[in-house]
Amino acid sequence: MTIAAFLLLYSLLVIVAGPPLLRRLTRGGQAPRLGVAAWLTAIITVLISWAAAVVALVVQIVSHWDHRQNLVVSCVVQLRNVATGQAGPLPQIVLLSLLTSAAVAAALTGARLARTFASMRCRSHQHAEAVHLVGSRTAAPDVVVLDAAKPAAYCVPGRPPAVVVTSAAMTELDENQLGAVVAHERAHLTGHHPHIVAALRGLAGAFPRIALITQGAEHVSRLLEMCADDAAARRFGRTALLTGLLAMTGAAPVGALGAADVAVLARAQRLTESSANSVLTRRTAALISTVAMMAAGPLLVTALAAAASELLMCGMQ
Amino acid sequence: MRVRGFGELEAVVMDRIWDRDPTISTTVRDVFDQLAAERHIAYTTVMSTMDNLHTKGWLKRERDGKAYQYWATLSREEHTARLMSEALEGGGRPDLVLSHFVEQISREESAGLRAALRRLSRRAERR
Repeated sequence: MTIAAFLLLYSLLVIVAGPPLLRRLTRGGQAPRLGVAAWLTAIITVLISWAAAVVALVVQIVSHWDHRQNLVVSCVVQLRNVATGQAGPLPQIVLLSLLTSAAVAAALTGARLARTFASMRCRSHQHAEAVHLVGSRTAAPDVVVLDAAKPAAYCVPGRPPAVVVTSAAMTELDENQLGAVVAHERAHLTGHHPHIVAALRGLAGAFPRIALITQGAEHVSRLLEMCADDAAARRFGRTALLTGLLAMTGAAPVGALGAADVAVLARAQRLTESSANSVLTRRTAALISTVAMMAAGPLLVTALAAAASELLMCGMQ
Repeated sequence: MRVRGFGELEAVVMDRIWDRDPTISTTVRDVFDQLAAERHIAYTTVMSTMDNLHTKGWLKRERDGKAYQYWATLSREEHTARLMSEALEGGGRPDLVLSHFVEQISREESAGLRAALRRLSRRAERR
């Protein structure tokens, strides 16, 4: 009981305090990989806490089955009596329908998640296969050129995966810029970034009310762009990447900045203004300790809860 | 990079079929004769590749005596247009997750961005 309660409390703490803290730590994108690690650890630690809470509850019920005075066990026994109709038909119906709807909701969420992942995977594999069949091949076997008037580049996971560059982008970009764009997309593929983004989007669809997960999906994809930018800049230089960004945003008349622009601009700004070493070191240290704390969280909480219930037992005896 | 093997052969076969006159259907024998002139390949390999392409919806076929007459379901241009609409506008499929180099930005929106980017890249070049 105590372990499960502590774990749920802990997950609640991460859900409430996590998003503002992580937003602040990852805003500037100084250490994007660590930023991704921090968001992912927070989300995974919450999911693990939930699963562990259920396991802890079941273990306690099973191991204390003979001790009817145990709070959880007596509770379960009570519920069982209600469920078998010993407390009258109305409570029985209410309890059974509550239990059934909880089980159905859990099963539906699980099934929907599995279906979403399967369909995302299938769609992207189909797209990758079609791109390889339709596009013109280049000297690099993973890069495919599609005939299109709009400059664009993207990657799609599949067997094999593909980096797609439109013919318009090929004419817009010089050799170095093209190299940077392709390196950026390859970094996504080798880092399994599309899978991470797809998993988070699926989770965000299943838990639309949990800001940690919905915001996590957004921030992680933003940070992954920066990770890929870093990989491309390391090989082809920041100038090639920046001018590549410029060439790919397309010619246009006057207007204000939209949300997508702000994201691109943030990437560009990050590439031009290298932040001071002291800021980077501080951010890195803060992120590493946050990740470590959250990763150890469920274990610490379990140990703490075990110790607390131990103490409580001693006190009662 | 792993060898594409069968997928590669499918691409070669589609290339041949798309390069032909689209109004005339083709047989496994035609494609095999063309390919065998350039590479060492078995008739049955071409046959099963074209059968695969038919199963996947890339080719249509009709029985004509002992053999099948094959033709492409869509032209290369039609496929390209479909893929681009899928990739750039989502094509009504929210479950396709692609990593774009830059998010697609409407033309009206991107002027301010371009001005800002130009300033930034000039600054980067000066250093």
